[in-house]
Amino acid sequence: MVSDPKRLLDQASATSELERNLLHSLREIDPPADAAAQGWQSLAKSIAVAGAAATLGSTSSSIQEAATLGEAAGSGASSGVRTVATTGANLSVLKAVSALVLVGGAATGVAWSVGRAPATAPSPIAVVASAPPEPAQTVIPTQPPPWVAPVELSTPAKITSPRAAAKSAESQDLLTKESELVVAARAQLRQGDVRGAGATLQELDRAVPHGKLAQEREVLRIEWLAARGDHKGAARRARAFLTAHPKSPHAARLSRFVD
Amino acid sequence: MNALRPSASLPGDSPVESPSAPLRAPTPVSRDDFESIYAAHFKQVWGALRRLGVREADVADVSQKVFITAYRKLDSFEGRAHVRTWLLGICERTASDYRRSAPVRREVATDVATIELTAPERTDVVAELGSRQRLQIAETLLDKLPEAQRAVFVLFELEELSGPEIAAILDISVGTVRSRLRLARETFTREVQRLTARGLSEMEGA
Repeated sequence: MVSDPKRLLDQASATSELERNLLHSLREIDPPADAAAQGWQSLAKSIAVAGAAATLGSTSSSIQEAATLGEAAGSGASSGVRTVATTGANLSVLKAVSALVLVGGAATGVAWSVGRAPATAPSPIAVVASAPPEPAQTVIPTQPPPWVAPVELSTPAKITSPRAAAKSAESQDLLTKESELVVAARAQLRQGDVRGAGATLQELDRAVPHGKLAQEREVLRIEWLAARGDHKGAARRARAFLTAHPKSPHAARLSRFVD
Repeated sequence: MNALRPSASLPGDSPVESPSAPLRAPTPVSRDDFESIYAAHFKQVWGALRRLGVREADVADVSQKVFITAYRKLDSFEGRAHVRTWLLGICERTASDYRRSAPVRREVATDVATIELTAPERTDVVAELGSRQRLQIAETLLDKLPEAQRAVFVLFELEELSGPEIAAILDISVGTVRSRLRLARETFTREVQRLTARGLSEMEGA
């Protein structure tokens, strides 16, 4: 049987430099950091996943609690917003997926997000988000709810697919995790939860030390410093950032710290 | 209204046996798994849709459609093919519907610098262009491929699926995949050479 040709982007292919360049630019398309979380919010509404955790009695009170907090706290919500992604590339080794409530302000109330509660989370509000499983097709999770047994964050999925899929799935996992935490930190800063944001930034450093969203994280760190009153520190780091990345899209945002 | 045209087969229906995929019994999939699928594949879906021709302004909405479709089809998926392949099949069909129903203007970036790439050694100028401009050029080049060729080109060169996997997704023979790929490569290279010969200014008004 004739096998597939080499890909244009293979090292061994005689592809011109220009073509390689252009093809690489197509491969590097990435969504904005908060696109996944935002997409999930509207997706959950569309498919009515939310609010259907009637199967697990222990969750309904948690959902109630979270909903109350969401309504009461409004824009000043200080609950920890932590979302960490799991990977599900190989369905046969999926563990139970737990969700953290993304408290997005009074208007939206409770929205759903994907994640596992990190072991070091300060006051996580964790509920399991699952639609009522149809009996004929459900895989019943056997793990205890996440707030009972902290789950290892960086368990790589056992992937049995070809090399590229395995590698990219794992780095995908980290990148998704990183972006979820970035989204969370940004939300916390926006809501005035400076301590929570600091904890999330710390978690980022711990869980994804060499992540791809370095610039976004640095910007958040600078904003965090300013938020807790360390204006000198914010100015110093902003100046350093602008020197290192003068053409960065974040430059405009940071210039106000430098005056 | 179901935006997807009915297709004879989905990757999940006929198992795609790539050489390294182990045979396993169909695994019933629960709704819980959907959240994991979303988290793990959101970025890939986004990128694939863009590469298949969905405009940046529309990709958030179109990716929603993909995941809603995936959610609805989860039960029939049965885990026999790789999730990624299955999702890319949904992406291809959704992008195809998008391109057919939305009047997609073949917009050329108007802020692309007018640079004469008249000599071969000036191809490095493309590297000097901002990444955004490079992407716009690349997208415009892909737009020049007929849709059937573009789908194969993107799925093979950029999503890195195999010929048999693409054949299953597009419901065509592997031979057809290979010939479309060859044509696509020829078109792509030809368009790149036109770009080099006449400069980027030609792209305005294309």
